[in-house]
Amino acid sequence: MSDDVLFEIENLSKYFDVENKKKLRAVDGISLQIKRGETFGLVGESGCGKSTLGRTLVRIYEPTSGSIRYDGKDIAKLGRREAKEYASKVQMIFQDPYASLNPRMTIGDIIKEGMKIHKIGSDKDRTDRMCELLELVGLSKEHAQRFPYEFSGGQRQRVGIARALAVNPEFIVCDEPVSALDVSIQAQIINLLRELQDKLGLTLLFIAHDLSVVRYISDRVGVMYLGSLVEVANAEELYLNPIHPYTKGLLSAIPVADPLVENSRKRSLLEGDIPSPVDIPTGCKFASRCPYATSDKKEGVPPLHDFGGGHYVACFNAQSLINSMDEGNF
Amino acid sequence: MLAIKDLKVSFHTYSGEVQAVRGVNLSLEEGGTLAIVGESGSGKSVTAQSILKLHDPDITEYKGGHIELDGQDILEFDEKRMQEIRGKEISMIFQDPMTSLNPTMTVGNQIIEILKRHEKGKDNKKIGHKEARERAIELLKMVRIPNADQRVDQYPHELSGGQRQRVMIAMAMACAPRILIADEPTTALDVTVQLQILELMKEMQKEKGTSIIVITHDMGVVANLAKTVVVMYGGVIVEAGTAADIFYRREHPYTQGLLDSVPNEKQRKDKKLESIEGTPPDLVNPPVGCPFADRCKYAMKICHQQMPEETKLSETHLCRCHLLDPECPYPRISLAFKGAKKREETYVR
Repeated sequence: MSDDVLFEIENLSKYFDVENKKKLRAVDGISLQIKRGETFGLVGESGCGKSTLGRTLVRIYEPTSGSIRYDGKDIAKLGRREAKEYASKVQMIFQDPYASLNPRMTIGDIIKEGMKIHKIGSDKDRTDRMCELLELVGLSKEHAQRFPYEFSGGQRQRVGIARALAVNPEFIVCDEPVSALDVSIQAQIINLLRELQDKLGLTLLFIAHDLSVVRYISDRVGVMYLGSLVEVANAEELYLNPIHPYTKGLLSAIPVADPLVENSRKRSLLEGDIPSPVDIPTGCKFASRCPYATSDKKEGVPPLHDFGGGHYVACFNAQSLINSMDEGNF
Repeated sequence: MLAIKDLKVSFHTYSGEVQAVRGVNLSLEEGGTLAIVGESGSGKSVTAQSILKLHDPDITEYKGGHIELDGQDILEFDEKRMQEIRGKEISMIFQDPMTSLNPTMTVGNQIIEILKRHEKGKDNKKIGHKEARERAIELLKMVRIPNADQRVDQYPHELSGGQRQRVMIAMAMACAPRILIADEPTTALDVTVQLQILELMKEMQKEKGTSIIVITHDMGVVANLAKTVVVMYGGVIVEAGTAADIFYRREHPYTQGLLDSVPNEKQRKDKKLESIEGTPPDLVNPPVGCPFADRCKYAMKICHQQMPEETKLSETHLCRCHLLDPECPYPRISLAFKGAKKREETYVR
């Protein structure tokens, strides 16, 4: 993994209009770098804005404010031709393999459509490439004439991956690519994604709520809460030494397939529900659920601060939490 | 208390007869927790739903077996008798609380409806609306819905996913049923909320002595809740036992595969995940041999030809696999699991 930056996201926000002229702040001032060749995992509870962030990167949504620089270029300022090029470089794999494939198109046509739009090769080239892609994702070219309903969930997800790969992308947003699949099939798809990444040198944004899968597949992980990043670190570092109280709560809620561990471990149980992203509390967004929240109301959202080795935390009390961790009071 | 004996359920569909459940035996103790584990199409939900006879009668055929509740066969009951059992003796929580609650009724009225159907008032007469409403608020408080006296008049869409699942639990517990069937109760929820719901279910059980059947594909949920576990595949039970049997003494390659395909803390990043290749069998034409044979890395010739018999490994532990045959050339799967003995000794529930 080289250190050159593929995505430079600065103060990115995406608000949606809701009733009573209110704004739903799905993504709220996120700054983040994604390096070339890495897998960046994004975790958080439903409604935290992780999918919106992914969708904003592939320009399904236009940001409300802030900038996204891809390879040094601001993607909002791309010309028509460059924008089209960007659209082929940045692809997406969706969660629901049932809803994301057109039921009236054959698998072959689904995979070829992107190449057609981007005018890649002749029709013959495209068919050859399509057959190659089918083999690459573990299907066979005999499948090309079939329709989506003839396939199982895992096979459809393979088609979704082949479709994303067809236009030679550099970056793929994987939005919960395995959460609709059975566990035995999940492992197949995760192995496939990793294998393809190695082979093709892809950069991945891996969005999921399954924390153990994210730990396994990611180089770095970001934790989102109510539209903001609260902690970013290398995957192992984040899982072994979480600092933000929200990350701690989230990690200790992961079920472990071992009754001995499951019934004996201490958990920091997160009480309550995530507040509505329409009426976001002022100050730290997590304060209402945080066991360490102090009563003195601080202004603004705590910024992401580097606590060494690229471990970023957004918490007013981070330093005292780290100190008490060092003293073994946790 | 509840015993399922050699249950066989088929659905008649356009593509033929789907043999969803092909001879299942299981039993549930008073106050116990049984987990049925398996992937989609394994027959786990069909088995559980048969207990309440929730299947479309036009296409469903109970081809054999019995479901005995206190010695009486539920499959023989008529619809009227079933209506008395549903919600009162046995109740169910479904996976998706959004689609299983009525969107046009307040949550309070949905609970009141159940109370009016099954419960009597303080004076032992028909329960009045006011009393039912009070009971509904109490129930919402019991499942820890904040501001229960206001929430009672809200509609499902005004609640979060976790709160909706709490309402489902309140509804299921309204008549203090003896058996609670939870079909993937936390699959649609975030891990944090999942943990809250699991704790709530355990608490309810402790308080009321309810027996729980939980259907899930998540071995973490099984480890958290269950005392006994049944692993299903292709419409049959492939392994059954106590939680310790399944987690520390497992013998079936499918059980092993299920536990391996979830990355755990020890998973090395440079190593591939152990995946189970292939897809589950088609139950319109179920394989003659072991249903898992096509995906099993240990499969032998006999596995494709003959359904393995159940082998009794201990009083509690059953496994259906040809690998357990004394003439099988492979070592047992449980032998490969290092540290099992130690874990088992320290394991106390």
